[in-house]
This record gives sequence, C-alpha cells and structure tokens, in this order.
Amino acid sequence: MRRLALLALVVLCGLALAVGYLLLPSPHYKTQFQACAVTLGGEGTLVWFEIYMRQGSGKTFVNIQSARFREDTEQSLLKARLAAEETLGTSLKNYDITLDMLTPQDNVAGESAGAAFASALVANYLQRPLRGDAVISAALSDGKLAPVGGIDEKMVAAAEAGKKTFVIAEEQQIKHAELAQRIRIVRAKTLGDALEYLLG
Amino acid sequence: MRKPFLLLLVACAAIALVVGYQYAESNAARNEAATARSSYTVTLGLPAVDLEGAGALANLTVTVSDGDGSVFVRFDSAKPLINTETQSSLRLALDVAGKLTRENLSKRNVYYSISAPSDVVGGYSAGAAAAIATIAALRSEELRDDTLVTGRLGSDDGKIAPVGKVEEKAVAVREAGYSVLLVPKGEGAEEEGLRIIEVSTVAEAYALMRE
Repeated sequence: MRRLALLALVVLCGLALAVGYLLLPSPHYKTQFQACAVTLGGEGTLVWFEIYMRQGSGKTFVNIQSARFREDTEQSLLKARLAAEETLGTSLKNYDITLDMLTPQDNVAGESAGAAFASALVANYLQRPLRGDAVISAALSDGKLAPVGGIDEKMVAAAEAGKKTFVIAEEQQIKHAELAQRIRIVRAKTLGDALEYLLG
Repeated sequence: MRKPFLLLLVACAAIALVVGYQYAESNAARNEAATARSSYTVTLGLPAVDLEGAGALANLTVTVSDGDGSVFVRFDSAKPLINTETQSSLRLALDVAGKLTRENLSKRNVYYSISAPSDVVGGYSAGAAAAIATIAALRSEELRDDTLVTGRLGSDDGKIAPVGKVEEKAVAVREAGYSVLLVPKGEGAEEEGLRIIEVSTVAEAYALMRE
C-alpha cells in the first residue's frame, strides 16, 4: 500500500514537471554575433548584433529602438539574405528576418558587415552557434566575399578583444602585414568557405 | 529514514504541481490574449515629393502586436525609401502615440513599413501621419479613407510642425481621389476639389481623421 502511494507520487511529480516544462513559451532561436566597424574617429571596434528568423513572407526588419540604419546597410542585408540562401541551397522566402544592434551606437552604415550578417543567417537557420573567437569582415558582391575599408584597424580591435581568427575576402589588401603575428588571418572566397572557420 | 524521505517527496510533488499549474494558467491567459488582440494593422497614404520635386503618394503600414517593446522598420527595399531621418521620425511618432494613448508600449511590438510607386524623397515629413496611424493601430480603430495628413513632429509634445511642399503634395492627394488634406498651421494652401485644413496637434488631427 505504501509502495503504491510512493509510486503514484513519483509519477505525479514527473508528470507535473513535464507539463510545466512543455507549457513554457518556446522563444525564437536567436543568433548573437560581433561585426567589425570603424568609428568616426577612424578606430576599429566590434559591435554586437542579434539576428533571428521566424515564419513569414520574406521580409527583413531592423530594430530602430535606439539605432538608425543607413540605406547602404539595407542593400547589404538584401545581399546577405541572397548569399545565405545560396549557401544553404534553400529559399528563405517563407521567413522574416529581424536584425537588432545590441551595442549602443547611433548609426549602422556601410556594407562591410554583409558577410557577418550572412553567416549569422546561416547559423540561425541551422540553429548552430557561431564561434566566439572568430570574426569576419567582408562585403558581399555577386555571392562572393569582397574587400572592405579599415581592415587594419578592425584587426587590431579584434586582436585586442581576444579574437583568434579573422576572416577576410581573398582580394583584401592589408597595409600592415605584421598584424598576422597578433591574429590568424584567413582568406575566403565564398561565404561557404568562410563558414568553415566561423561555425562552432 | 523513510519518513523524511516520504515527506520530501510529497513536498516535491506539491511544488511541481503548483509550478506546472501556474505555467499552464499563465500560458492559457497568454494564448487567450493573443487570440483576442493578436495584431492590428493600419494603412495610411503618405503625401511626399519625388526626386523631381513633384507631389507623390507613398504608403505607410503600421502593425501592432504583442511583444517586448521593440520597434521595427521593414528594411528590404532595393530602392531605399527609409533613410535615417525617416527612422528617427517613425521612432518619435511612436513616442507621441504612446503618450497620447497611454498604452504600455513595453508589452507591444510595432512594425512600420513604407512603400512607394515612384522614387520619393525620405525625410521627416511622415511624422504626423505615422503618429496618427500608430494611435489607430494601438487602439484598434479605423481611420477615414478620404483624409490624409502631412506634417512633421518637432518633439514628443504632439505638436505638428511645418513640412513644406504642401502645394505639390495637395495635387498628388487630390489626384489620388482624397477629399481632405490636413496640413500644419500656417501652411494652408488652395487646391481645387480638395479641402485643406490646418491643424496644430496630433490629437486634433486624429479627431478629424476619426470623424
């Protein structure tokens, strides 16, 4: 009799926990990542972003709660979506994408975060983490990685932030070759190549 | 030895049941609220000017849903429509709408989307219209379909400031079949077949657009 009551209690306990857990709201899988930027003063810096996808109709949104986004970044996001689709080999037309800048800063401008956006999209779709010790700084052009400005300054910022690997476009020029002693510099032709170093 | 163990188990079961029940309840409440309110969308024409300086009409869509206080703009146009100034004016419009409706915006998400048939110039002139459309979306109210508004917001005090190019916009508004255009105080103009009314605040304009 006692044993039965005990058993019933244990079962009840398990059931209640399971029900409680199942009813927890399931949040979107969000991907947080760092992209390289150059400040108005010409210094390199790393900026946190968050990207996620949800069922939708192919739209892209940016959060303007505190940041403003320039038009060239809009084009960069369009290219990132295309590059992610090409790399994944699947259309994202049934997904809405949301981009949020987490580091307080006035404006997001330029196309140099294109490859970072695209790799975050791929990681988010696959629900795989991005490596915390690697960053990419490249624009996107015809599905390939393209050179960006201020790369030396960005490398210094990445090295100072403790990053180990820095992915750049194949045609990227670097002024200070000795930077290679502070951070591992990897050249990639496509987003797919770059992801080898970025996905965790 | 057995007794404390049993007691512990009973306590465990009780806690688990309470926790599970609470989640079940809050979840049910959330679902109910979601179906009752879910999201509400308001669309409003935006008087604008194109690159040649002629009047044109863009289209603003505001959707309000349950959320965490985020404000988004749709940002995927091959022809850029929403520059940083427009983003600032949308952000300000939400502040004005939040103040006027006294809605708790931290539990809502707001999505703005602008589309235009031609190349229109971005800027601050969407402010008053965006505030009015946001108020309507927050309150789940409909706006008149024969009236448009043009005007910028100077600050979050809800006053409507001058925008310029009112005559050009009036032509586009009339040609699109609207019969009333609300303009900032002091910018009244004449346009055959269109009633132009000067307004000084968002609240005043909203009342006219709800009549």
